[in-house]
Amino acid sequence: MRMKGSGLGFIAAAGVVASLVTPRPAGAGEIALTFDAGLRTMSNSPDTEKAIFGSKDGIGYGLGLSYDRGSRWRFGVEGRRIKREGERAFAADRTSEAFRLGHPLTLTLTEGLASAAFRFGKLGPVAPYVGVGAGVVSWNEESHIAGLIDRARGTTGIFEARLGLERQQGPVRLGLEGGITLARNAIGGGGISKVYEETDLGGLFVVGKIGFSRK
Amino acid sequence: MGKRTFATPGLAVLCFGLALHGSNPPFPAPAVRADDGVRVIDASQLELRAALGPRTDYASRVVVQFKDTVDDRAAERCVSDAGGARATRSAFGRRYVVEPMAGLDPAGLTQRLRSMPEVEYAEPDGVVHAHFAPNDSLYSLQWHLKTIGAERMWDIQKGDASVAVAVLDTGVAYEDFGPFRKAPDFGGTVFLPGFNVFTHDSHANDDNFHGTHVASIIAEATNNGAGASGIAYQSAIMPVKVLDGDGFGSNSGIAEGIDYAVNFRQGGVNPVRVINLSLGGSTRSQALQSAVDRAVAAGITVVASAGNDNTSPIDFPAGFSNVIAVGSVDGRKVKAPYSSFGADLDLMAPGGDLRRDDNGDGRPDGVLQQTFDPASATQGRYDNFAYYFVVGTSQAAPQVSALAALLARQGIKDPKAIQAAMEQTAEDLGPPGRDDQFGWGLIRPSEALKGLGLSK
Repeated sequence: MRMKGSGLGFIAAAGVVASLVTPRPAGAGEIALTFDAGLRTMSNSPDTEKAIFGSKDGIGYGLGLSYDRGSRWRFGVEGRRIKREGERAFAADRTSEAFRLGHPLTLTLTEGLASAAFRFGKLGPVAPYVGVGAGVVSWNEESHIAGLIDRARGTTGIFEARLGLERQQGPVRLGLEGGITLARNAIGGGGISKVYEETDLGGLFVVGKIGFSRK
Repeated sequence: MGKRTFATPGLAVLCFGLALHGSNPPFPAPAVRADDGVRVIDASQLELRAALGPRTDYASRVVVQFKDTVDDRAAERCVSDAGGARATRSAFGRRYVVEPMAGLDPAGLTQRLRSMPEVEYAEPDGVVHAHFAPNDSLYSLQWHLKTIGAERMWDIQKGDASVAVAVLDTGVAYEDFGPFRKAPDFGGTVFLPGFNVFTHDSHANDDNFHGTHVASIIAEATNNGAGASGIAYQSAIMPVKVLDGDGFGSNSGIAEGIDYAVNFRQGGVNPVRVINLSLGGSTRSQALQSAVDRAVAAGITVVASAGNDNTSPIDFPAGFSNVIAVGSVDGRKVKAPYSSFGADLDLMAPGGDLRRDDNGDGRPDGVLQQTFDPASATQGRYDNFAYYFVVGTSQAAPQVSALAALLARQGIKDPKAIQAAMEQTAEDLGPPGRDDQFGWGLIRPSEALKGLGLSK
């Protein structure tokens, strides 16, 4: 059986690498491939998050491709996968304590965004920036209950606002970024999020970034 | 002070007795020779495995059947084009089990395959697992367990001795003491020290039959190859005798029994999380209400039977707002003709109707559990044990108490949350939403024990 998916992935990766190593005309902006990893919360729905995930934050990993237009503006596309482990829970009503029931629950978010950022120029060795992004998030909730799997999934739009600091040394970029993601009306139709009347899958995040750029 | 009576209909209390021992038992046990070639797989190992979940993620796969005219090469091309990463062909036809490529979910793969003309059908592969069904010889006659979906419930939770149900009743046949004998199918059941409000000692022996039957509904020894099954059979029972040999007691006596259960400590903690009251009367009592309030404040869920007079309002203590009031349905999930009703009714459980045989097993639809012969008991003999079909809201309430114990063991600590879990997952009977005939409906233990996910 042929592996069509991995072939496409290889072609995409080769394209990105090629765009970084191929000589480019003078005056063209800088392009970069960036990896990010960090903590992602669901702080926009705090009671739901606490009930299902307790104090464990989500870990997210992302990959982005950006293009710097001049020294101020940066445009990019990025994808990200976030995984969170929790437990099914029960709460009598929105004012009640939630009890966790021991059935493992995994939430997986797959995000795709287009982003734009504005850099303020150097502040010592680092350059601060602000940015926004918009895209879609696909989420999958999976519970294991005594040998059976219970699933829920959906897709909704997301919006992200972020600020960060970046340091560039040669082709290598190091960054620290924080912000908030909004994923309105993704949840709240059932489950514990309905009890707490919360609908947003997004929240605060902080990530570290490493990128490799080329003029 | 109003007299308290247990909530079993006055007529046809006991209909059918099954002798435990004797020369001509109605349900003969299968003969077992020393070694007749029959072997038994240890069910506990299967249960342990089931609790861990499947090792293979069967649910992520897709089953696809190709048309007879499609050869293997074309089938494999279709699978690849649809996003299949790996496919295994059945040894018996053009059926493939396909694993999707990374990032492609089974639903997407199924849709792509279904759209192809070469495909006869495609569907997500389903997960199946071994069900736990107890091997007790009379289990097949316990229609009430099937009505509440007990097998799936047991897959999730069977209880634990760290959670106890106090059975405030006519006592329980839980020990050999004087003329009293421990019921034979309580062999594996854990009992906490009891209390007798009449004698003020620890010997809460049953001199009626009722309390033993009620306690057996909750925690009769199960999967021991004999007798009947209990719902929360790994939970502990605290026997508290608050009703006399004729089935009568007082509000003050019940309050005393509740206070005993609330103040009990073992190793510095109170394992009692549920109090079952298969009893009631028409008198509202401040003493009883205060005792119930103390129990609920201590985190104990209080469950009571609604009454068997087919009248409204229901009896007390079921009528108190912080007590879960339980009515009775028959095998069709229709309100039993004796079950009382009203604005304070919360939930229903199968209490049966001896005039019916809805499951067609040739037996009347009572709740079958062990107890002793009440006729012998009137002559001072409490060792004539058998299995009896009994009906009433007395038999419905302990099913709810057992579920409350399972929910407590699953992790819900607050009586209000335990009640909400049962009500929100109940099978709605009668008019939509809560109504006075069925309350919130029939308990669905496996749904209550699942709890809630993020969005489902």
